[in-house]
Amino acid sequence: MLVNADIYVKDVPGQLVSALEPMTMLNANIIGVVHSREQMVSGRIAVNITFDVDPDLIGKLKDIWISRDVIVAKIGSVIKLHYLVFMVIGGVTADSMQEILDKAAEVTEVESSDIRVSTKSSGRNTAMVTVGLKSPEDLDKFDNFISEACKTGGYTYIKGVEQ
Amino acid sequence: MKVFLSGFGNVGQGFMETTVIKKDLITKLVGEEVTFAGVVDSTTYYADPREVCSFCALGNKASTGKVGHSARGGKSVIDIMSECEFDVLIETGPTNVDDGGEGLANIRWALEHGKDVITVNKGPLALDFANLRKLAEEHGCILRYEGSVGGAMPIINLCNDSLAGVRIKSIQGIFNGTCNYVLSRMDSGLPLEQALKEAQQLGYAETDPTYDIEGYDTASKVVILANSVFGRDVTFKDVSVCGISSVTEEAVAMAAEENMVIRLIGEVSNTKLEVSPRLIPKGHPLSLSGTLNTALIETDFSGPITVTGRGAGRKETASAILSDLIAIARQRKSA
Repeated sequence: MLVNADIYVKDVPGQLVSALEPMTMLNANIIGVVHSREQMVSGRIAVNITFDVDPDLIGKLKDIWISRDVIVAKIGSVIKLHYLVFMVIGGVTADSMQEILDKAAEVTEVESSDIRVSTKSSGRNTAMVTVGLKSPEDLDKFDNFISEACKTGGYTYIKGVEQ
Repeated sequence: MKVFLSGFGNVGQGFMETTVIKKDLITKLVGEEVTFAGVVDSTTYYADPREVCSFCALGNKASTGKVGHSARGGKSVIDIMSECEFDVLIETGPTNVDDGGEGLANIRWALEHGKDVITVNKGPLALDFANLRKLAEEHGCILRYEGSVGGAMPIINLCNDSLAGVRIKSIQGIFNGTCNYVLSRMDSGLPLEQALKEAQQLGYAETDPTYDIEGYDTASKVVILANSVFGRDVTFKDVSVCGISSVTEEAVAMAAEENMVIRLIGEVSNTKLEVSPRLIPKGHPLSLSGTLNTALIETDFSGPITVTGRGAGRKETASAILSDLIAIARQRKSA
C-alpha cells in the first residue's frame, strides 16, 4: 500500500536516518523524502515521506517512530489516480459539462474532476476537463461514455493520447 | 519489365521522371530495364508496343496538359490496357472512396489477367481490400501499395517485413499533411479558415479540401493499415471519423495553456479504427508540426517505434512506387 506521512524529527545530526531506518527494517520501499528545514516547529524539522509498505505493518512503524521520539503529524494511504485530459467543443456550458461528468460518475469511479470553460466564440465554447479515475479499467469505459454523450449533444470530443 | 501507368498527374509524372533520372540504378536493382507500355490520363493516352518515350510523354503533358496525341474518346483504361502487353500496372488515378471509381476496375482487371499491381490510389484498397488480395493470390499476382499510406514514409512494408517478428499492438499517426499544416499554423494563432487559405496557396491543400479536412483521407489510410497490418476485414464505413473543421482558435489556445497541441490522429489496432483530433503533449512524437507524416507503432517486444517522413509529393510518392517495383522484381526473380 502506498502511504504518505508527515513527521517531525529533532534538528540534530542522525535524526533523519534514525527516522528512516525502521522503514528499511520493515521492508518498506521509500518512494520519496522531502526534508524541509524551512518548516521548523519547536526545534523539529518537517519531513514528508512517501513509501510502499505492507498495511499490516503501519501500526508497528508508528510505534517505532514514537519510541524514537519522532512526532507523527499525519499518515494516510495514497490513492493512485489515472488521469484523463480531454476537450469538448460546441454549445457546452460549465453546467452541462458537470451534468455529463455526474452521469459518468454513475458508471465509473471518478475521484476528481476539473472543468474550465471558455466562451469567447459564440455558440462554440470550449471545455477543458481533467478527471482522475480510481481504476485503469474505467479509462475505456469513461472514454466511451463521454464519446457517446458528445455525439448526443452534438459536441466535438477531443481526447488525449495514452502516455 | 514493362509497366502500364494509369493516371498522369503529379504522382504519375513524378514516377516517370524518377525512372528517367535513376535509369541505371533501377536497371541494376530490377535486373532489367523498366519501360512503359502505355500511359493514360483523363482525356488522352499514349501507348506503344515497343516503348513509350518518357521525354515525349512528359514534354506533351508540360506543354499541352495531355500525355498523348490519342484521345480516349469513350475508351476506358481497361480498353487501352487490353491492347498493351505489360507486366505491372501502376495505378495513380484519383481516389474515390464512394465506389472505388475507375481505379478499382483497373486493378481488378489487371489482377484477373495476371498482372502485378502497384497502387497509390487509396479508394480501391479502402473499399475492397480483402477481395483484391484474394484476387491477387488466386492469380499468382503481387499487389503492393506502400505509397498509399504516408507517401515516402515507410509504414506498410516496415510493419509487414521489418517488424514481422513482433506483434504490433497499435498504430497512431499523423497521416494527412494538409490537416497537420493547418493545425500547426493555428498553433501560431491563425484561425482555421486563414490557415487553410494559406495551405491552398502553398499547394498543401486542394481547392476543395473537404476530403482532407473532414478526415476522410486519413480514414482511408487507417482502413488500409487495419487490413494489411492487422489482418482485419474492414472498409471505409467502419471508421469513426471526425475531422478538424470544428477546431477553434480558442480550443488551440486552451490546449497551449496546458502545454498541448491538437493534431488529427488516425488510430488503428485490433479493436480501434478511429480518426479524430486529439490533445497531444508538446514534445510527444505525435506533436509534430508542418506537413510531415508520422506514425507511432506500439509493439510487444520492440516497444514504441516512431517513423516520420514526407507524406505526399511528386518525387516522394514516386520513391514509394519504385521501392514496390524493386520488391516485385526481387520476388519474381527468387520465385
